[in-house]
Amino acid sequence: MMENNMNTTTNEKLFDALLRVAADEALREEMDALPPDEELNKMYPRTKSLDKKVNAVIKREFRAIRMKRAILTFTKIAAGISLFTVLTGALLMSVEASRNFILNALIDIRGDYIAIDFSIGAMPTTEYTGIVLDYLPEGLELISSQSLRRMNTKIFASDTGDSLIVQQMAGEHLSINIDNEYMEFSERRLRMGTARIFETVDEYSYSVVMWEVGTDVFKVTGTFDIETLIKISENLRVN
Amino acid sequence: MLYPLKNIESVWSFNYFEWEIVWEGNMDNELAIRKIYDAYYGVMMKIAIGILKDYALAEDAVSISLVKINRNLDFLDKLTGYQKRGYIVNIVKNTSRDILRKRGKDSVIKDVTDDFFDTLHGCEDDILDDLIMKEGCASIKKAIKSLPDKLREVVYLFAVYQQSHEEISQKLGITGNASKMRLHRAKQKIKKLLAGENDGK
Repeated sequence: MMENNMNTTTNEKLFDALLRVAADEALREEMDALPPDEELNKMYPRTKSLDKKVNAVIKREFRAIRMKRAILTFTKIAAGISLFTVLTGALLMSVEASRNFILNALIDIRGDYIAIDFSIGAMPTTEYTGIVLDYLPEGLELISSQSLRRMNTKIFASDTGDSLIVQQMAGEHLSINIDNEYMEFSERRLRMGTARIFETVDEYSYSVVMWEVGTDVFKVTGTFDIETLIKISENLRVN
Repeated sequence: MLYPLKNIESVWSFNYFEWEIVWEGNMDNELAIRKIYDAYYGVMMKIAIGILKDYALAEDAVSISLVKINRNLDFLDKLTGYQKRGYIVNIVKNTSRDILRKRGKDSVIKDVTDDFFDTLHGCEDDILDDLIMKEGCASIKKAIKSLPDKLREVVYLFAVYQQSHEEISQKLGITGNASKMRLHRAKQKIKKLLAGENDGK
């Protein structure tokens, strides 16, 4: 009986080994039976609709990946509350210690980035409260909200891969660099004042709308077209 | 003094810096997927049209398959030649069948022999095993080719790509137990076919 069991186990192992070899050969023959890829690519030429569908899913897929990583980054930043406050102040100030800020934002457009220095203002006397968006594109849901003493951040995302980040920051000791390789910079007069607009020229990237109110800087970054971002910005208020 | 973007690695200014750097890292994967699309779109369309019989649906299947391929890019990178092609073909077949199923037009006829093999009694297995061990690889290969698609794809994933049942279940959208059952049925069917072949000699 025991010998039979051992034979069965051995047979099963042998069968599995043969199965692996046979399956590999069967797969090879099945693939070889298909015409070569070059021939099939000619038989089924790419159409505009196929390319459009593929581009759309790839775009969504990689936006989703970028969004997840951005969220992780935001979470890491928000986790070090006091450290973050010190960093945005002290770290940049350690570089800019001797620099004199002017009242308005100093914009320095370089070859591959645009640098914006915001002015020294009075320390905010009140704690930041919430940002309220009276207009939000369809499908967006709030996935993260951080309210710190000198920064408010809200992150929104949708199932289709669109994302939106809204920030309110103290303008004191504030320096922002924005990569302008894929962006066109302009200034526009909006409802809340003069806004700096960074419109992406890459369909897979993001646009930014930024403006100041008093000593506060507001920054809206998202995957939407610039007019939508402007509409979101103009319908933003603080509680 | 202002730092160029790429030099800012540790400044916690605003996360867009890290975001942009991460975006650059993703470009490799995005390029890899586009290369796969460029190389294999013909075979993907052929397989999808073969199942779906509709060009527009086939295009949907191809685009969805690329997302699945992207999520298995690390594994796919280890494959070459027919194995890589086979893996991609497998994904497209599965995606196409999913689309058919969702449209309620799953035309895959339930293999009635699945029920038959469910009724096989254990006491016959030993006899079959003895017969099978005398057969060569070629016969098993022939038997694999005659398996229904659903069983054959599990055999390929398990035996060729050495995926676990958990991995197979995720790829095929079935439970781990269903994966084990399909493999078991596939093996039983192969053994039965071999035994039947042997009887005929």
